[in-house]
Amino acid sequence: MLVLQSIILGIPQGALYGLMGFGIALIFRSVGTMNFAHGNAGMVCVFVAFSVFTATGSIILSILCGIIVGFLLGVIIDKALMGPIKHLSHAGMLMITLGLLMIFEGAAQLIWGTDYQQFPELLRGEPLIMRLGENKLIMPLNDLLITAVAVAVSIIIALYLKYAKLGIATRARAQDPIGAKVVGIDTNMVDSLVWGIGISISVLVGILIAPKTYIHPGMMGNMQIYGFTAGVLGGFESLFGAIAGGLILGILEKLVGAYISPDYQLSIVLIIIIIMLAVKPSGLFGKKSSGRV
Amino acid sequence: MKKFVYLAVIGLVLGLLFISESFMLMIFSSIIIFGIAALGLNILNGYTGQVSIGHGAFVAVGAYVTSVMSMNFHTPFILNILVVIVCAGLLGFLIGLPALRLKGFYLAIATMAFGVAIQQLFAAIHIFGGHGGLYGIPRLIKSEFGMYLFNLGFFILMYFIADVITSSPVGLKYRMVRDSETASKAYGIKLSSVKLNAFVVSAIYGGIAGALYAHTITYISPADFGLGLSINLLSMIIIGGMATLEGGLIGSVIITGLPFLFSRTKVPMSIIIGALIIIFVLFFPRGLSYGLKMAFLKYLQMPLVWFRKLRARRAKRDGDWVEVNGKKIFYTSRGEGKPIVMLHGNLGCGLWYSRVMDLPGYRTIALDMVNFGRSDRIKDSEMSSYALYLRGFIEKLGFKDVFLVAHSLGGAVAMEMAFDAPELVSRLLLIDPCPIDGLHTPEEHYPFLELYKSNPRMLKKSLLAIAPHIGDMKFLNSLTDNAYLMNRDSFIAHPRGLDKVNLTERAKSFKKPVLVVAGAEDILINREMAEATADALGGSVLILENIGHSLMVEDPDLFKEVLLNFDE
Repeated sequence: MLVLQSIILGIPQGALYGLMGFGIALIFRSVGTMNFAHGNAGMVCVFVAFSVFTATGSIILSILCGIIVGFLLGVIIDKALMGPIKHLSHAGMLMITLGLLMIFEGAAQLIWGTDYQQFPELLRGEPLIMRLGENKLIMPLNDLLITAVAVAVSIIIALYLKYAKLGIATRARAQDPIGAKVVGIDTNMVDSLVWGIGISISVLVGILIAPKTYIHPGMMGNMQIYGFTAGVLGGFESLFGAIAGGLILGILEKLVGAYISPDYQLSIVLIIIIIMLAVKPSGLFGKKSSGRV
Repeated sequence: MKKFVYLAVIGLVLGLLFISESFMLMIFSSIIIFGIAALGLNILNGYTGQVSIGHGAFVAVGAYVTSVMSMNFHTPFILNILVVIVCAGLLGFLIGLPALRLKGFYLAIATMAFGVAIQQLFAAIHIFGGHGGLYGIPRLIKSEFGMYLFNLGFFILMYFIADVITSSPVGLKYRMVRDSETASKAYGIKLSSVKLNAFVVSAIYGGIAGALYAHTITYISPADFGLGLSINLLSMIIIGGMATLEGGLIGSVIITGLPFLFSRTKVPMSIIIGALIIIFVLFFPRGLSYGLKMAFLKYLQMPLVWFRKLRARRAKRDGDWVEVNGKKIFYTSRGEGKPIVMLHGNLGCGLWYSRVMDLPGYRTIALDMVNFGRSDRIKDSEMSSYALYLRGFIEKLGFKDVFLVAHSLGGAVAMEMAFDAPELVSRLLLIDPCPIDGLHTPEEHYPFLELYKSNPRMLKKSLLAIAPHIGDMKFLNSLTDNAYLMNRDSFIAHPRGLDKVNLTERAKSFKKPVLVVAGAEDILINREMAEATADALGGSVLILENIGHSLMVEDPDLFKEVLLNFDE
């Protein structure tokens, strides 16, 4: 029964990890930058949402503001910093995103301080309780919502990439930047758009976990590591690999927590990705062909 | 060896200056300790090109192992450090294994995961004190000054070892792997063993730094060794300078020292460090160490340049001036008889012929060409302009049938002039001349040529390289002095001009006797170039053993012999 309960609790957690990995993979696949500042960029925008919430008291407005600011932040990062340095080596881009990570952390500390701030849950109420014979399975309502949002967002983005004109342009740019330019796609615009969408996803994840972790400058640190892990597990080659990887990760984490000790959750998960990277760097669902979004 | 003595002396003086302020000494100690860790990371990241953002883990291992051993078993430090080396090395080996298959971003993710995993493990295991960490780790030496000296000694030792490693064949392999994996494979280098080697060495550096940290600060907690420390170490080598030994220490001074500078303000350190990382990656990718070195080479010796110029102007030289096209040309004349006009090379002047001017039966004339020595400056540094002034000079002195001797760059000028006005020239003796189709200077040499402008030591060395058998250092010194009288722009313009020289076509109509002499040890003009020049001019070649680029300063007697033989 513990297994089932762990799985049920692991799914919402995993959906968030997956969404995080999804955003990172989206940027990586299309623009070619592994964004190590992904979590912290989201964190800053969650703080913005929090400020809006304290000022107006409206949750919907604050979430909207957070996501819009996240989109703008992504566009600014691309236009001002990452766009002009596409020629740089991987190591160079890596260091720049690490620098961004530090700057975001410092900026949040400077503006909002290091205190833990509370953010309300989106859905409150009695958790869903299922009875299986003598055992009870518990699913908190908010977790249900998180799972639903994560699934919805990934489906929307999948549809967007599949059918929307800009989505097709994004895929074209990922497959072949020069070819995309030849057929008249403004790749710079597409890059900015991808950055914007990626960071907004990170903001969304931040807002969804905020009730649990509280809002503080380090709130997304582990989340980002889980996001990378999800990406590695599922393979950065395919976006849905990241979602699936995230789900596996979430369930695995809860199982480790239930059967070994919660203290070892993170380290065991991390050791798994190191092994995964060593054995199959393309991930569980990775394909040989590259260039798909 | 010198730099280790400097390091020790500077460290000692700093320590003595602040001997009563234990807080300052502690800051110095932590700078040195993180300097060791950064040095290790530089071996991995700078020299071998393997990104690591999990280096804090090795520091953590060093710190925890030595703490637990000395607190629980009271083992001596020497034993602890050996265990630390083994543990850190093993761990480096372990993370090195998956890293063999990974590159770029994936390697970064793996090392980051590794760093966080180790940190979390230490926080989870009871014997390591959990999240709270360990308190009251025994100090090795009671006084802060003693501890500082101990750390300093360790730093110098580790610096020395790093110096040995990076300058050994292993260090060369590191750099080959960094620059091109395919090429190093082609040279028979086993990529996996080189990378593992770098991982292990760099991990050991981290471990030792951690051990020193634990005994100096006496309190450790997992939070000290997280992603933050790894990024700080990385930023140290970015700011200090990748693939330099001193880069880690310079970066450590900045990154470890800054928080104390900003302690009064509310600005969080991470903003400053983050901004520094981005600024350095974008605008100063070679880091502070390169900047400091260049400043040293470029500006510190400027007074010496002025001094040398002054000395060259003041020195006594017998001679006369002739005005050609409004520009005064300085020349020295000796003896009476058949006229010989001698042309010096780049960075030269008439003085280069001072040892060979006594030729019985000849009137030897050595001039400073325009833009050189005591003659006037002209606007450009083209060989054809020099040739025009040379022609004017010869006409002004009223010579016909001049015996032209020319060295190096002068060779190009002499050829140009001789083709313009063959009637003025009776024969041509070219000493290691610029090849008939130009002398190409690789683009990457130009920054060094730029440095010659302001660095007399380098210029002197390069003159020694083109006149290896000069023997008389005083003479070399005065040649260096006079080189600085050359037009400053010409330092760069001359090699560019020589690159453009192409006289092959015009040489065909030249029918006067020509002899091309080249030293076998010449590093600029090789045998093929000399032969090609002689072929084009229809002349003969003479290759001289044990002579470099400059026959007339290296072996004056041989020069005279060659010249007289040629004239017979």
